[in-house]
Amino acid sequence: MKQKLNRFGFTILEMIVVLSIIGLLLPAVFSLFFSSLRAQSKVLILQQVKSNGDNALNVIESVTRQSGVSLHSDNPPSITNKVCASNGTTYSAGNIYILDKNGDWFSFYLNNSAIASESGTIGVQDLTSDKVEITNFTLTCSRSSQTSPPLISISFTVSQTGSPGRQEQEATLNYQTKVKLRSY
Amino acid sequence: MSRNQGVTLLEVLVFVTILSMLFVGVAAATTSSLRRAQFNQRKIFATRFTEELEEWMRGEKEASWTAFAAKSAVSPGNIYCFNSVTLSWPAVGSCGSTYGLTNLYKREATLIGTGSQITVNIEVEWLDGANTFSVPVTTVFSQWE
Repeated sequence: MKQKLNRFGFTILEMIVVLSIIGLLLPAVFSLFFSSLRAQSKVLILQQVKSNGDNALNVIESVTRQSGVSLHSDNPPSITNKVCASNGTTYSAGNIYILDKNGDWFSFYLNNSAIASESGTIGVQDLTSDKVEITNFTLTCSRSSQTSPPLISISFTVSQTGSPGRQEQEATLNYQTKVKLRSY
Repeated sequence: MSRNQGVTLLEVLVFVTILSMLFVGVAAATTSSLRRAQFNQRKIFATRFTEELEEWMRGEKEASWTAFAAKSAVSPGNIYCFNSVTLSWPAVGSCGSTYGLTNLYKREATLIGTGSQITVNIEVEWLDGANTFSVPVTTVFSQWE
């Protein structure tokens, strides 16, 4: 009896059962694998967005705080286009020219969805990579009293370039802070 | 004769065991990597929320030290709940068990001290199953002018 069974091998029914089990298992394992890949790429995108935003804010904040002497609405900065110099004034723009103690100027502005840093001595340099897009970049300065230096509010939004993938939500982070010109 | 015998039960058993072990292994590894990726993603957001509040606090301090210092109290200090995305000073009080920040996180800040130096403890917390994770940051703000 045993001999006879063995010689027949598997029946078609057995093969169908086995194949259907494998056919159910494989897609399950692969879908798990692909969702893990997707989650990892999401983390990578978020990291890029965050490191770009952190870097840009750090540079703007530290340079403005340490080197900024006065704020101007136009280039070249002069005494006539000085903003936020007198008590209670406010000025808001996408670009404020900041004069440093050596008489050179620098400014930060939105340049084709990247934050550009421009200075009279170095020229234009982008602070963020082309992997991310910057929106809502605003600079606002104000001066509340004659005894305190002008205050600049910086705010922008960083998100990844292009439209997000099918299942991924968009990676968007907001940045905002205020700095005082310590060398005023 | 032996060529006609096909596969023995033992061989099939061994094959199926190896195959199922492989599947289980791959599935377990993928699931844990998925969980880790999700954890990383949440931690990045939590870190960002923490830093965001820290930067905002610094801005508030720069804008007016007196107004900022008025929000603080002697130890154990004043606790505030910053569960909304747009930042503004809430009334004193903790978040309790409300994870209201993007429906996932809880962001609290404690301001301790009076005078010219204020310690700020910021903590963003989130739940993952039965576990609670948090990103704490402590900053000391001093009166500069």
